[in-house]
Amino acid sequence: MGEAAGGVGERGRFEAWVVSSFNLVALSLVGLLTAHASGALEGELANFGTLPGVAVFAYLWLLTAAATRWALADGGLADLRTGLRGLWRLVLRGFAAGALIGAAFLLGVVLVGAVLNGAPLVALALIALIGVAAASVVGGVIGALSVVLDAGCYWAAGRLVGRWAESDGSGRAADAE
Amino acid sequence: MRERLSRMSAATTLLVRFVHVVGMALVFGGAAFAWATLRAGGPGRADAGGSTASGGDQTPFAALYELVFWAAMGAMVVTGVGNLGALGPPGPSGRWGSLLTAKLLAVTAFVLGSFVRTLVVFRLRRSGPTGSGRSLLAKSYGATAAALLVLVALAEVLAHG
Repeated sequence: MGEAAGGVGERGRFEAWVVSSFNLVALSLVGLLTAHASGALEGELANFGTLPGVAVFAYLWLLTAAATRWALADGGLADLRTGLRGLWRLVLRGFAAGALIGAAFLLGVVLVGAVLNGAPLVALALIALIGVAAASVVGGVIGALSVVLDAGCYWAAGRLVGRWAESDGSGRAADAE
Repeated sequence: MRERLSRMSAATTLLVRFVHVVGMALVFGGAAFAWATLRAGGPGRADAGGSTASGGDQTPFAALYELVFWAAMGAMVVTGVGNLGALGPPGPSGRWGSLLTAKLLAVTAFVLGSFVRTLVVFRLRRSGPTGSGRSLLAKSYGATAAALLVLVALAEVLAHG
């Protein structure tokens, strides 16, 4: 896959970095807003230290960056230029990437929590078995929705560039006359 | 031992605030610098109508800003939550709670707009000829700097009333 397709190379890395960071930041803000509006934010933050919070966020960022890079490896957002077919392909990839993130995130958090708290192995296996399936579905849905949001922004950016190119072209035509 | 933990906690809180402020300085300073640079011109200076006559591809510079911008935004979200935890977040009702809702909504809208700006840079990098999009990028970074000023004002009101 060549760089022009957006899969690898500097532009591919740029695309994966900005898309993954945006998706994580947007998801965090939506989560914060929901927690604040429901009055649950105070209780949730009280149970979370600064360093564990930073570690969990960094882990999630790392997972999101890796999964996004994989999801965009075969064409990237430029796939959206092919219309609904491209969008559908990206949504499916987004679902798979989100499911992977959800499963890996839960497994990592449960594993670290179990090691720190000395939880028994059977309880850990049970939580992992049930939790990973649920986390995969939730992660997949979030991943698919994130792709739809990304596609909307990509379309808006295309409209802006198109409008600018039109006004720039007409400006030059007027100058030539 | 308790005193040591308390000192560690104070140091962590200070570090979290430092990273938050440095992040804001980076994104605001970078946007203002990009706006000024793109407006001022040099080779391929924007003409009176705002269009670009020739030369001077600015998209690598814009792409560098975008890379730093999203790293800073990620750091600012996590340190912002840390700040809230240290201060004790308000409930949804009341003046402080309403201000926090307004700030979170404004930041969410800003993040959405910023992603569109980033994708404009991305699309110009992919398909634009050399020197393309200077006036569009200048406007985008000007709007980013202006929006950040509003967010800083909201943060000041939230912190000091």
